Amino acid sequence: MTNLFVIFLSAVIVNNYVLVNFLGICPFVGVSKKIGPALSMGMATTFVMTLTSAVSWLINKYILEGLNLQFLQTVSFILVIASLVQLVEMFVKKISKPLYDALGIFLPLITTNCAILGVALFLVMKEYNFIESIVFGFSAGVGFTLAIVVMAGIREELELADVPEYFKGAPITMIVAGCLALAFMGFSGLI
Amino acid sequence: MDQEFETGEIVEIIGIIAGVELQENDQCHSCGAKMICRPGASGKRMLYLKNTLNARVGDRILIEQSDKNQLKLAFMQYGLPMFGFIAAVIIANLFISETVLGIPAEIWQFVIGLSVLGIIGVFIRLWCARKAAADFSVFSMKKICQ
Repeated sequence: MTNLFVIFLSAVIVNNYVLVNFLGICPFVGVSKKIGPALSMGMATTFVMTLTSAVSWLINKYILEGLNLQFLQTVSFILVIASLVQLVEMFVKKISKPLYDALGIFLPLITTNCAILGVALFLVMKEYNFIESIVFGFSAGVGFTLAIVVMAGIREELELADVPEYFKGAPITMIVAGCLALAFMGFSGLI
Repeated sequence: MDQEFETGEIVEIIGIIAGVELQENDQCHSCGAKMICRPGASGKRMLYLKNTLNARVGDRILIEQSDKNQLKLAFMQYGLPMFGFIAAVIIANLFISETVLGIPAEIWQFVIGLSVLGIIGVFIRLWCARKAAADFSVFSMKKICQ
């Protein structure tokens, strides 16, 4: 149990995917204008990361390792993520059209999120077992959500701040992202 | 908690429902997902809303998004199934830790997790049907643009 807690803390804070490993920057900047959509995006990403980690672990353990095809890891994981997102999209569309209309837009964004692929590759590299992999995927998603929500909160506040004209938009966003990354570097060495 | 979302043009009216084609904004062009960001079979970014402003085909409207409702939906769509899946896998891990019927324990755990996901899906479907009957929506028309 302690082991799972260490994995959780490590993926959420110490090795945060966005602010320490710099993965998933596109949605981090693109969907962090308001807290509401940022939180929804975070939840969607966490859901896909958790499922991806489970499926990737099984594929790696019982197909790639079994057939000695580890060199196909990256390609297989990309296929797993794309198929999984497509399946989730079809499932959501089947369950409820209003749900699909309201939140379906986040799914294509997730397909192109390299943090998901990062999770699949890291869990193999770190040789986690099945449960540890799922906790790792979930924690990485929570870390992503934390980063994107913090960023959205700051950007909402920035709308009320007196930002110089030339810094408005992308420049101030990058500066804030840099400051956040520096802050998170303070956690390095915690675990 | 509501915020302005984006603009769109009404392309069809079906009773009290208006079909709105969303217009691409500046950020769409630099987005990595622009090639696949086409929800629906039409290949267009369509949204179907209650025509509360009596708008007509060709009108450009401003669409409002309710963050509160969106969060509720996001939790129901992603949060609940995810927690159900994780809980099911962890509980299954406590009871099945060895190969059963020649199938590894992890595959059993995964299948049990997926089954719980399916059951939660049925529950979400019922919840959505009830909410739809109660006029619950994330997007609404705010005003007709001139």
